[in-house]
Amino acid sequence: MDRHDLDQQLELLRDDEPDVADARRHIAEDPVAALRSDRVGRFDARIGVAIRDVDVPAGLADRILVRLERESAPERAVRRRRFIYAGLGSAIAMTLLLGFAFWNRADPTWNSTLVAQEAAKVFDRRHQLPPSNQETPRLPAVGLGGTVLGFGQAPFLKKSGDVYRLQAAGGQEAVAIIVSASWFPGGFDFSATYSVIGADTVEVRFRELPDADMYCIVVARDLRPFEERPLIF
Amino acid sequence: MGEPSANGDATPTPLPIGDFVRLHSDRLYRIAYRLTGKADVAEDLVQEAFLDAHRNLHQLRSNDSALAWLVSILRRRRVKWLKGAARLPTVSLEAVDVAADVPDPPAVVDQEELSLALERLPDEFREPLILFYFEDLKYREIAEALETPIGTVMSRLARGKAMLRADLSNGVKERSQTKEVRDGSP
Repeated sequence: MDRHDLDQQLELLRDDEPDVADARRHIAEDPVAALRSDRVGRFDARIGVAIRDVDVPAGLADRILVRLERESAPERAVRRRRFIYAGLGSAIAMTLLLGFAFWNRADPTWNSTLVAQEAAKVFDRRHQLPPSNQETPRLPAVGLGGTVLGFGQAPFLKKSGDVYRLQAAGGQEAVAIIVSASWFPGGFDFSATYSVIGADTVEVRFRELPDADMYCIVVARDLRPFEERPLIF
Repeated sequence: MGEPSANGDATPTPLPIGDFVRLHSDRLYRIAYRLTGKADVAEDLVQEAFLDAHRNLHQLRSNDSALAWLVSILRRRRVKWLKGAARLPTVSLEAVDVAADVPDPPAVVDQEELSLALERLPDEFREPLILFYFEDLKYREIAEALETPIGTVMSRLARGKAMLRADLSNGVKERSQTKEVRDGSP
């Protein structure tokens, strides 16, 4: 240890500090170091007492506690409000998520007969569809002919589908309902025609859209005028 | 807030905030006063430091390190105050060698002179010096509170003490000379 390091360590001597052990050994062996250490110690003792001699204002701790109480109360209110908003937000998000999950869920009771009956109701309401225009998407290529008179979204078995209102050359009308295949995991019998007897007797057939996970449900009093290619395979 | 357990993990043993404030507020105030030299500013800084500490009590690792933690918060508050206040510039002190002779300590330390001498010290020397003389913090804790490597802290401490000694002894010398002139003594 050189003199500079020793002098530095002598400045830092403290009983409980391990980093200045070398200086302690020097003091034991070197009278000059011991004298210097003594003078430093006496100076420090005097200065230390003076530095620590600071009057603390009366009631300081009480004032701090009052301020803590005063300033943390609004913070607590803000935190509580944030907590409530976060809870409400989570509840709303969860409700929407569950609602969407249920809405998107396939219902196993939706068999071909029930779907055909629902499709017949859509046929009855076909005049409520908005008239077609330039923005109306093309009728998917499922072998159906006819002019598209109207198009719109219509409720269908707690879901909705794209509905086309069609007119054949002879003036007969039909509807084609496009729905997601995932809603009907049981599928349909594409070879069968379903007759729905109600206020109006109609025929219903199911077709699969090529290259799309969609079904087309066709409803008319008589399906034959709309057959570009046989609907019955 | 928690005390370290036998295996070194912090186990939560929360100290009520009232006890926490009463335990540390006086000591923190004294340090703040010595750092700022102003009683009103010191109290403001201490109050704000406790507000910060209260908001972040979860960051305190153990009660043993509470004072060092509070000092580090106080220090950040002080830096903000220094930025906002028109602070008196420190006088550039001549480089003082650590190996310079150690004068005899004054019989009585004049508080005003001490305050001026501390104020004249550059900040990087004043901070460790004050924490050193309060004797509550080990060098490692001073280094943590000042967010400075321990070797740097020790070096600054040694130099800071030499500067303070030189400044105080010059003051004593000047006073003695003035007194001698006034008394007409040779």
